[in-house]
Amino acid sequence: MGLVGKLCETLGKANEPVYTVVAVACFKGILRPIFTMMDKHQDPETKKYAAIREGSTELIAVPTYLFLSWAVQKLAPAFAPDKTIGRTLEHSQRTLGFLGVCFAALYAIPKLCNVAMPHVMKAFKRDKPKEKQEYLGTATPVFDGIAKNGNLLSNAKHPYPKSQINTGGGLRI
Amino acid sequence: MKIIPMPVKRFMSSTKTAEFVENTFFAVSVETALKMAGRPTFIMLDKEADSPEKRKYAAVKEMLYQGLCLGLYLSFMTPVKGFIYNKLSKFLSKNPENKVHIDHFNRMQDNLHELEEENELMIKSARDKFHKKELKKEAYDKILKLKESFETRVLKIEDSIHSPKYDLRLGKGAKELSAIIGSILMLTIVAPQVSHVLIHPIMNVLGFEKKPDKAKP
Repeated sequence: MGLVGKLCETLGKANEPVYTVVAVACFKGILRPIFTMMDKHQDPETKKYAAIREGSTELIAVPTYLFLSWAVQKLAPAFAPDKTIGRTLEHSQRTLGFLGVCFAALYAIPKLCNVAMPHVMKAFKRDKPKEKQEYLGTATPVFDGIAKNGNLLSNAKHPYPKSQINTGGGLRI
Repeated sequence: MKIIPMPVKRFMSSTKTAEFVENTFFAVSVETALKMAGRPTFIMLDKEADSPEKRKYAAVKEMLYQGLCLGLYLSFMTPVKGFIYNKLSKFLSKNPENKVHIDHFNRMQDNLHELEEENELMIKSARDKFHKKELKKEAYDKILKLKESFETRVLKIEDSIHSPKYDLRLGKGAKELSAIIGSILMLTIVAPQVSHVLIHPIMNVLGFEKKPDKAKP
C-alpha cells in the first residue's frame, strides 16, 4: 500500500479534528501572504504589513491548536463514565480534542494575537525607512499648495491608494 | 471524578458525539463559525491598538471574511468533497487489494443513504413529539445495526483457507482525506479570492469605505 493508502488508513482509524484545522492553518500561513503580495492594487508597504500579519497569525495558531487539543485530551479519563465499557475513553478523548480546538479558535488564538501582534509589528516598523517624513520636510511652498489639494501626496510620491489595513493592533485579515 | 454530572459524561463519550467531531465537514464548520464570533470580538476588545473607528472597521471586515468562508464552505463543500473522493477512490482502487475494501465501503455508504431516506419518511409520519423521539431512536439503532453488519462481514475468497474481514478504514479514511483536501482548497484558495472581490463592495454598502475618487486630469 502506498503513502496515500497508509494516510487514508490512519485517518480511517482515527480522524482527529486537530488534523484538519492544523492543515488548513499551515496552508493559510503560506498562501495568504503570497496572495496578499501578489495584489497589484495595494501599496508595497501595506502589502508587507498585511502579509506579515497574516503569516504571524497562522504561526501562532498552529502550535496553539496542537497544544490545546493535546492538553484537553488529558482530561478524558474524568469524562469517561466507565473505561471498561466499549470505547468510551477513546470517544471522550475525541470530543475533548474537538473542544480544545474550539476553545483555541474562539478565545486562545485571538487573545494571543492581541498580545503578540503589536510586538511583531513594532519589530517590523523599526526596520522601515522614514521615507514619507523626509518628503514632507523638503516640500517647497509650490508643492505644499498642490499637496493641500490632495494631488501630490496621493499621486506623485505615493501612487497607490492609501491602505485600509491597520498597522498597530492584533488580528486582522 | 464525581464533580462532572453523569449526563455530561455520557454525552462526551457517546458514539454519536464522537462521530460528529470526527466528521471533518462539521468540525470545520463549527470552527469557522466560532472564528466568526471570536476574532471580531477580540479586535474590538483590543483597546490599546487602534482608534475605535479602525477597530470597528477591522472587526466588521474580519466578521464578513469569516462569514463568507462559512457560506462558501457550507454551499460548495459537498460537491467538492464528492469530486475529490471519486478521484481518490479511483486512484486507490488501482490496487486490487484496496479495490475490494473501497467497494465494500461504497456499498455501505449507498445502503446508509437509502436507510436515511427511509428513516426521514418514517420520522415525518410521527403522531406527536413523544412518538417522534421514539422513531428517531429507532432510526439511529437501525443505522448502527447496518454499520455493524458491514463491519463484521467476512471477505469471501475462493482458494483460500483464511477469510479476513472487510476493512472499512481505508474507505472512511479516503472520505475524510477528501474532506480535508476540500477544506484546504475552499478555505485557503477559493475563499480569499472570492472575499477579495466581494468584501470591499459590501463594506462600501455598509458605509465603512468611501468610494475611491477618480484622479483629476
